[in-house]
Amino acid sequence: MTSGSPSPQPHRSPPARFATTQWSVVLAAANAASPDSAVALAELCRTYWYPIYAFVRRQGRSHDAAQDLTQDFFARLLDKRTIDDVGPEKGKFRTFLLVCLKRFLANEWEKATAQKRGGGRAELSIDFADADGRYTLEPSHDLTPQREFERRWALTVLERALAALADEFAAAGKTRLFDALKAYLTGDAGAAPYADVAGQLGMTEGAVKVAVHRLRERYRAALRREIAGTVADPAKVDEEIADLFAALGG
Amino acid sequence: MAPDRHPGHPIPDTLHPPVPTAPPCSACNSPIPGDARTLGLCPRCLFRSAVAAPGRSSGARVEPPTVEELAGVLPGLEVLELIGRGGMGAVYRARQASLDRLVAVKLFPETAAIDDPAFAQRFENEARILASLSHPGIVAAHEFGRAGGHCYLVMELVAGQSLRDRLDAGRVPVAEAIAIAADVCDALAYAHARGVVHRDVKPANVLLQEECAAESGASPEAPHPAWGTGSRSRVRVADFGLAKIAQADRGSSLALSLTGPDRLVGTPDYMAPEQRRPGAAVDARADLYAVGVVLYEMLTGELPLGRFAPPTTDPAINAVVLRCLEPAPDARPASASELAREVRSLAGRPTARPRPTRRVAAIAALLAACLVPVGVAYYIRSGGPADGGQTRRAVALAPASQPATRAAVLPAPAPAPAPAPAPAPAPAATRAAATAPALTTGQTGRSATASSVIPHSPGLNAWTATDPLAHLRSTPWPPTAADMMRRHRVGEFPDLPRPAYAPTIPGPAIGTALRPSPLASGADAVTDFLARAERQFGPGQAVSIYVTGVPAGGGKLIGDQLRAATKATQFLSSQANDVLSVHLAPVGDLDALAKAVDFGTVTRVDAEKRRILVTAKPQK
Repeated sequence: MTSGSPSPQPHRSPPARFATTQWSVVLAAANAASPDSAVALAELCRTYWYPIYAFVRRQGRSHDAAQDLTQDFFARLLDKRTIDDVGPEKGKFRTFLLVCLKRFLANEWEKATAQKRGGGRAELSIDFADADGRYTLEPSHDLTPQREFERRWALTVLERALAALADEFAAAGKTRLFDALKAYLTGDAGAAPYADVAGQLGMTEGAVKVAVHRLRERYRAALRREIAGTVADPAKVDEEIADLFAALGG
Repeated sequence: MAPDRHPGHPIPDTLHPPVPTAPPCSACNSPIPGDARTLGLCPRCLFRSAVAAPGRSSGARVEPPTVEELAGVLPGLEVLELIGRGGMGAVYRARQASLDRLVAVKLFPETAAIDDPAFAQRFENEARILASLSHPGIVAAHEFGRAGGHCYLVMELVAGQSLRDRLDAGRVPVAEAIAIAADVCDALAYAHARGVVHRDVKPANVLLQEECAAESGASPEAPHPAWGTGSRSRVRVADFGLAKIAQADRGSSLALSLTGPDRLVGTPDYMAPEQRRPGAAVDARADLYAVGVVLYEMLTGELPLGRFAPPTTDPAINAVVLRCLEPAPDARPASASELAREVRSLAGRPTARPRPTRRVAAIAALLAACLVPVGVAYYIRSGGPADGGQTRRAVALAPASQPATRAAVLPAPAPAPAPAPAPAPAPAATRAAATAPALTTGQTGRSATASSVIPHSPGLNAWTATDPLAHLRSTPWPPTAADMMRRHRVGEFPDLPRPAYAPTIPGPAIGTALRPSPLASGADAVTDFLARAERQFGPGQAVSIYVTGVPAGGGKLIGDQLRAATKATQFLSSQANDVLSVHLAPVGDLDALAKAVDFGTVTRVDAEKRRILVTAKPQK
């Protein structure tokens, strides 16, 4: 996609995901069982399944048990409109999910569903293959399941934002630029001076500075977009960022 | 690091085999989690950089994308150059490949869509409506879309300059100002008839299209032609309804159009009073207010702020302008077409001359005032939403000084200086003094007080002997309770019993007049109550209502009524003689409570001290 091309290709904008996976969309359609909100909820669950898995694992269960429970939990969540039951936690998808999960695990019901497997139950397509490997990669510590859940959630959010950012640059054909500059996302300290990167990329130092600035802005936008997708009120995005930051700090 | 300890049973080691910790992040010195797939970057630092920087759209200025960045992003458009930027986005010149024509593309910042999920939907709805508007006075919108995270609007490219540029270059002649305003009104009338309110009429959105370039089809690559003083230009109004896209309907407004250091954007000076209040109903008449502001600015070069002088020496023009600037929408012209008619009827008035600037007038007034006691009548625009313009018309009922005042201050229709009260050395001073009407000293006392405290409309303008638009004025507002009290106090209604107290002195007078006798529960209970309320609900949530004229035993009913009206959970009341004091918390909206009072007349609302004074209705 070079500039000045006679017939520029349309940029691959983020697909309908942007509109349909908003947590607010899900909440708005809570009472009416519209297919859009169901799809949106499923999409959200598919995105944030790993913190759920980690929570269940942290409770002391094995990989297979955790896998089953995670699937059961999501199945129940999507089959039954549990959204109506939740009170103030509706504000954020994260807290909502955690409340539902705790309720689910405390319930006798989970034992009952452990019996029936398959048989027409809607299963989310989650790839559990490397879940176990990821989970055990952790340095051992004593976080409670809830803290673990929040920590994994924060990491998931970051991963998705960075992936979206990388996609943006890839679609514009600027992967090389992204790879070279991504180190500056966390700040200037500890990274190579601009002059080195400038020589490497064949740009002037000033241009590198501008590019880094724009990269940071795009990153912030991507992160906010990701978080806004899970929060009902856009004014709460900053609050959620602070919460997740705290979740990583402990 | 003190994480929450896991309660109860220990975790079997088989599930958590110890792994060597990863090297800590060099910046924040915390360990990088092994399971973090964050491109090898420390997650904490990533979050910190997202938190620390002022990336919010409503805080710092967001840089619009460069032309290079937009290459190939917008489908079918080749972006050529950035031609303007404001708080609502950036405007580019672009070539539409399919039709090989030049267009203007307005790009909304991507943070808009992120911060407000409904933005994209609203944008689409509005853009569709805008595209349906087809009028010679409106800049056409061709297409809209979303690409690369941006919402964009493809519009007609207008060659010429905006009214903003024209005003910056100098004042607009009266005849031209009238013509431009009339054209703007025509465009607004067309849009209003289709249910579209502009909401953001201002000089930057009024484009003056060069006729010659538009007609002859000059080379599109040429830069914008310079303004020619001789040629008449076509007025095009741009950016219809975009303000509606920018502002969220909820209380948490994006305020996209209210940010940025640009003078072009973010100035609420053109907004009608009802527009500046969040949640208030805004209709087509808000646009008419803005037209009034624009017209005033064209005529005087200044904005009508605070106390502002009439724009010209011609009372008919002034009447039209000032009618648009009425705080209450009902007092303005009812529709844009009506205003267009009125404005057009002003064309060709030979005697109209713009007023001198305020500075000159101030100097002149000072000089004149030193020599002879004169009073100057100014128009004061009501800024407070609480009044809603209700106090304005009270002057109409001021006692019979009015006719004398009128006689004393006829307008000066001709620019020739009226017999100056005293020789003013500077010619500018003479001119200003001539146009400054004089009130006789005998009347200065009350009328001056009235005119300086209570904003009044041009209909009550003391210095217009004949009002050509009198038949268009709406009926005057009824007097407010404050006015009635004032008049009662000075003895205008001799039949009625004198009021129980006269709260002319704010603050201490209230306390001394109404504090219950020391034998009653006294000030301590009230202080306790207020302190408790502040602890429980936060500051500014308690309200004290003092009611006079309450017979013994009537306090319970009033107290119940107030509690029901406010749904307050904390309540304290006491009565001494015929004065009842009621304290409630939490009460957020003081004005709503004042309006809800129906057991008496509200005589005073003190928003700062959160007190309401009421005179109870006399028992039958």
